[in-house]
Amino acid sequence: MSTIDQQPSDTGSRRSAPVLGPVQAETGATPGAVAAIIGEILGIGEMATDENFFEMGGNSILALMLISRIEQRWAAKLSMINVIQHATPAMLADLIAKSAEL
Amino acid sequence: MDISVTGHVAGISEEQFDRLDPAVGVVACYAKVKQREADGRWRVTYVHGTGDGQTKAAIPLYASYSADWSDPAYDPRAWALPPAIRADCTAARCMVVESYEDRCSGLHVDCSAREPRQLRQILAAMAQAAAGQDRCLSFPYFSSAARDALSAAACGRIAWVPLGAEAHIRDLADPDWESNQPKRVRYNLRHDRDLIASAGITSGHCSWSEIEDAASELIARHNIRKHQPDHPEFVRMRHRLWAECPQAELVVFTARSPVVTGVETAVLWNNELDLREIGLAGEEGADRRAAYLDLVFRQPIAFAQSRRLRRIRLGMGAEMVKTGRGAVLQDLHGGVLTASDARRFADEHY
Repeated sequence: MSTIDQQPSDTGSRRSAPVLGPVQAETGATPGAVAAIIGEILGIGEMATDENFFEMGGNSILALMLISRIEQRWAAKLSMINVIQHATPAMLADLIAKSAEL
Repeated sequence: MDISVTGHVAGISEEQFDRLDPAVGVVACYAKVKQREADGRWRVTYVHGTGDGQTKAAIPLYASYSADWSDPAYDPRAWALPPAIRADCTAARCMVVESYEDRCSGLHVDCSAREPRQLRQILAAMAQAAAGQDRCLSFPYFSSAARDALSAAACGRIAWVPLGAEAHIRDLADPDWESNQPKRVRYNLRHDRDLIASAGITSGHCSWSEIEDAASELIARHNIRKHQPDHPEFVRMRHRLWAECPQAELVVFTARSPVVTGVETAVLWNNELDLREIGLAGEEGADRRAAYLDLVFRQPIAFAQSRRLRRIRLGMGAEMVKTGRGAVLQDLHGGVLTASDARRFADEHY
């Protein structure tokens, strides 16, 4: 078995509680908007759009949170594979845009 | 041998890569190794050795982007190493040799290059890569033969501990496989079939896509019950990656009775069946045991024989049960070359 993080990353004291997105889905995810969500989840404030989610403190549990936040905000249903294979805000924004086109 | 470091396996011949360690199976095949390059949790480099126009070595080295181990079984701090060696082995301080998942590692070095002098040259390049990032080299789930070769090349500087054993059933293509087994094994296999029949188990197999949601739930619940943290989405990810792996076929065995439901996933590749994960729901008792035996032994053995496969890999754990059904065990070991020793080794031999 693989890919299971036992605990969220050790950014504990810096991590803010996740904020629920708007009930109505938005269109047009930008890399900056995805970076802002990841920054909130990781409790790091800002991150660049080409920085790696996992390098910035992300793990599998936090990736589930990210998937949920993206679905709430943009009605895009991403998977864990999507997150590990598109680990930067820019790549995720591109993926969300493509899923909206389908 | 000429040694270089590259970031992609694509420049290496698939046929030559898979010939380097034919014993290890689908978890270390070219297609799976290439698939791992897309995993954003890890940065991969390969130590590539060539000679006489052929690839002699192609060893993947993985550096985690995350501070957390993606699979706790790969955390050397949980292995029975001396405290001074394991203390520094956080994910951020390790470079993992060969694989960070599936609990079985190959050694992608041609047999002609496994003698100490040539392997030392390869190991020195690996140590140099680790030392450049101030990381230890971690060798997870290596066979005894690989451990012995690496130990000789490293002049004993890698600290090793046993991590368990992987079970294999071999020679299944022989139509007389069962009758050639010892009396105890034949008795167990017959007794299992009787137990499965009396429990009224309905068996079958299907593709992953046909059963993904239910199987993901079952496997995740099963693992959580065994105190291994999991989530259906993680199970889905692991298996979709197998389903997408070229040349591999993901098969799901199913078993159902009025009181038990179960699945066992397996990957078919290159004339072998590699059992991956089980999910079993239902009360403890004879029916649950019957479903387990059906999923892990009766169905895979029948499937392998019907396709004339040569081997089933049964994974780790439940060793007595597996050897009682004809499996042989191959010991697996975990090793660490500390960051300071990696630096010294690279200075001396690179």
